[in-house]
Amino acid sequence: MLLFLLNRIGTMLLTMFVISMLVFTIAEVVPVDPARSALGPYAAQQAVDELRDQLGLDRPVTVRYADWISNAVRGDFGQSIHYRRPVNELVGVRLGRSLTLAALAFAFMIPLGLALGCIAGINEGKLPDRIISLMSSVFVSVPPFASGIFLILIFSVWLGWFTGVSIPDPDASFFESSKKLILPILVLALDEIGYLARMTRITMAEVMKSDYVRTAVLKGIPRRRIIWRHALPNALMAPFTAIMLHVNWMIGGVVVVEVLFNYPGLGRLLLDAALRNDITLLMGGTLVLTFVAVATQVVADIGLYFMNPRVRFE
Amino acid sequence: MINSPKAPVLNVEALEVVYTTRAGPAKAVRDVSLEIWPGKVLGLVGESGCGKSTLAFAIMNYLTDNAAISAGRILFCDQDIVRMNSRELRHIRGNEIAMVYQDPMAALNPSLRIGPQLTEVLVEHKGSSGVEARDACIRMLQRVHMPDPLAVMERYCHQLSGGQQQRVLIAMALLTNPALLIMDEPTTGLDVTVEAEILDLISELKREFDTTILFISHSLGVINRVADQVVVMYAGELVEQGSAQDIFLDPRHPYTAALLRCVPKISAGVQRTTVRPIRGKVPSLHATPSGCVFESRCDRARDRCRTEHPEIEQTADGHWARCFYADSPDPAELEALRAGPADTRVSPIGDAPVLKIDGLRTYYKAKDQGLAGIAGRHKQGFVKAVDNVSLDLGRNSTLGIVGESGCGKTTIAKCVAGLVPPNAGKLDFIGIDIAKVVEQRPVEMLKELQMIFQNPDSTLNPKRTVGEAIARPLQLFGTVPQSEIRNEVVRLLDAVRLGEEYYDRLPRQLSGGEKQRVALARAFAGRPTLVLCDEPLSSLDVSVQAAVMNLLQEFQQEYGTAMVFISHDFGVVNQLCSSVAVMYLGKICETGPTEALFKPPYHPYTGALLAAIPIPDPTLERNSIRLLGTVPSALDPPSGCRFHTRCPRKIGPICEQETPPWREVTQEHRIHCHIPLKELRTVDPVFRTEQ
Repeated sequence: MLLFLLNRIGTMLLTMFVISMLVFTIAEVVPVDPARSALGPYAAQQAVDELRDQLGLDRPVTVRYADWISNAVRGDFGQSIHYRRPVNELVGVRLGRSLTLAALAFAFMIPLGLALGCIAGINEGKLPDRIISLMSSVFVSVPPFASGIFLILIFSVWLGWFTGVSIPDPDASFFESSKKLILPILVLALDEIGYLARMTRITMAEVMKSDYVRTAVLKGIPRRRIIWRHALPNALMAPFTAIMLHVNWMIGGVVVVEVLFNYPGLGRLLLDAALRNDITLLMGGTLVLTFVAVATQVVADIGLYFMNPRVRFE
Repeated sequence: MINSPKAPVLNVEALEVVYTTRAGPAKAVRDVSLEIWPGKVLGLVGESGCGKSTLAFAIMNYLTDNAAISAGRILFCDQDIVRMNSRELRHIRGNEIAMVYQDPMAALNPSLRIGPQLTEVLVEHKGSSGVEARDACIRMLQRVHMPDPLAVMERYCHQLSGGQQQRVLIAMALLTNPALLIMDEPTTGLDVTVEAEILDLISELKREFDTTILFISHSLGVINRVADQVVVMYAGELVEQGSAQDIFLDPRHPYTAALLRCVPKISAGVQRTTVRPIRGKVPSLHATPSGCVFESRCDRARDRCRTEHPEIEQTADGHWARCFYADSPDPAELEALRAGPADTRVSPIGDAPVLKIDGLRTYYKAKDQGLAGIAGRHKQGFVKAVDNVSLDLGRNSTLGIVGESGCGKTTIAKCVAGLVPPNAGKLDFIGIDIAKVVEQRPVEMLKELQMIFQNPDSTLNPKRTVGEAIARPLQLFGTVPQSEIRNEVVRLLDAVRLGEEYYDRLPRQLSGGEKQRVALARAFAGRPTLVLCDEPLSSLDVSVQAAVMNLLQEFQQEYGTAMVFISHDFGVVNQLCSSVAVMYLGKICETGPTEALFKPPYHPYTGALLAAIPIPDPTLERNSIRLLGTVPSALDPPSGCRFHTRCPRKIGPICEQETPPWREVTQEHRIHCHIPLKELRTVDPVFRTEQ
């Protein structure tokens, strides 16, 4: 067990190291001078040179990388060129908001996706399966930016139930602020629900046809127990892994949704940073984002370890 | 039938099961009537696709969605199972009728511990409390001779061996003391020694629990070992029924007789009889002939058989057959059945060596994933798959390698074929050193060495036609001129009895036996010096097996090819091989001419293997030698003699400490054992009846 944990965490650190090098290299290759972009096109060359000096941009690549990464490990990603504030401060606040959004979307989609998939899988080929399969196909094939616009049209323009903009108001009550998040969550969750339902449907249908479920049926076990005790734990393993793998995918969705609903999360921040040539912010934010992605992977692995006795005893 | 004061436990009356398929309805079971009497074992035998399993699941009223019972009744204690509602069925299933399945690993839930899987049966049917149920389950595991039942309750199924998994399923089935136990191929896929143990267990349970069993198997030998009564199924119909004695010694239906002739005989007489395959193939279930279903393949068939469908009729007391001419079997058939004249088609041991293996060692690294593995920080374990093996093979002769699964048989073949690099030792093939992987070998050499694999489904490229597959080696090796290739392929197709019409077919249009024939033709196309056969018959039905076996012999005669034949089936090895090597845990424990292996002196392991073979001959008496425990891990093989942990004839600490010497019986026949030859010679022979 301990070995397994160490192994996973070790692999994670290795991955992070490789990614940090990648991020750094990309920032290095991009033809953007951080000093110039900070001071603007009209600043005097001398001022730019001074700033370059100040930022230590003249030092060799390896030294700068070592410097950057050792600071990053301590949580210091430097100053944002555009905002002139520490990157970690900016990223921290925004990450919190993005995670809230993603977490709420997850909390909404996992039970719904799994439940729909199970119902479809158990009744493979029958009416409930057909309805759910059709629904999930639609959910999967409509991209978030399209479904977002549809939902805004329906719920905020026509029905006027929710606002189309989700800028959080610090003074609003919890209920008020969560109401603002309903539409973004829905958009984020919809195609994930479709994906999850389809996946679960397949594994569930497969498990229901497996030899061990047949054994259980021919043991005279009631159907309810067969489904909950014999089928579900086996059927949910693959979808669970898939959801966790999709966390990364969802980060992409978060960016789109944040832009769509004008929600000030990490995605929006990174997009803006990229548009404004804010290299330090972009690097720091990307690193944090990949860390989140890799860390969820480790959490998923550990979760699977407990779910699947085969992995546990290998 | 038998006059018994009691009523039959199960009475199947004129049952018909229909599958709805895209090609129309297929009657998988037609007009099947049978009775199972209390305390008896009814053996149901037939080849794949004959409807055995469909019948078994129909009795449980558990059929796939596209199947339905279209006629007939299944009376269990005077209640018709066909008409039961789901609540009544649930009461019967697992409680009154229990089932044991073919693939025990798949039949157990991978994410539940064994304990709850067992106890839930009692909790559900007997309303036992958890503690009661647990105790009862542990007692039951003890009764099926499960080692360490307490620990087993806490395990998952993948932590048990195949034999143990099957014991768990048998225990599970017996928990409620059911009136009927259905066993669907319970030993198929298990090693021959494990199979023998499970069959012993079934016989013992039959005596102790007085259980009534419907035992389904494709293997006549297995059926012979457990069944009191036997029914034979063919193409969905019941063709013959009678006592085990009747069926195996005096078969009345030509199909039963033909099936028995397909099984190679083994006995102390060491006579080889010709196996006679059944010609043609099973009629499609979509278009069953109006006459007798076996007519197209029957030697006895006359005009009447083509037009009229025979009813099953009593030929003698308790012996029934569905044949118009059941009372007048062809004398020639009977003659052939009773171990006919020895056939000496097995090539003699050749002199000129084709293959010399000397001190071959092949170790596999034990798997180790993750960071620690990458960094090499882990202590590396090695699986000694093949450990110091030396073998010789002469031109035109066949060397059989037998042993339980995981003993290293296939690894030897892979080394010779160059698929796995050996760690040490010499491999000499027609004077060329081949102790390297196939990419490094000279091209001319590749032609001389071909391989036939166990699973024909995965060895033929699904996108290539049969003709292309066979033509490929001809093109590569230039065996015949370019213009002659098609003719040569057709000649080969004829030789494997497929014919030119198969030239443009794709592998998916072929049956398993036909695919194996194509693989055979492909292997022999380049006229190789050596063909490695890795269990080429084990996935085939008996009748098909016989045909492929004969083909192998024909090819060998024609081309003078040497063969290495890997098999777990002693009967087949006896039929095909001139010499045999018996392997255990990566080492050879006995090697010698085939005839010599069936008589003492032999290695205790050889003796146990011989005693375990299921043979369809009720008159054959054999010593029962059973091995203890399971095969130890090859990662950490036992010291001294590797077989000492399971050896029934272990003589003392010397077996644990010292590697046994080679004892030479004759120049060719050698035994790797501490027991002196004199003692090995005096051991009771496995086959007691000398013929």
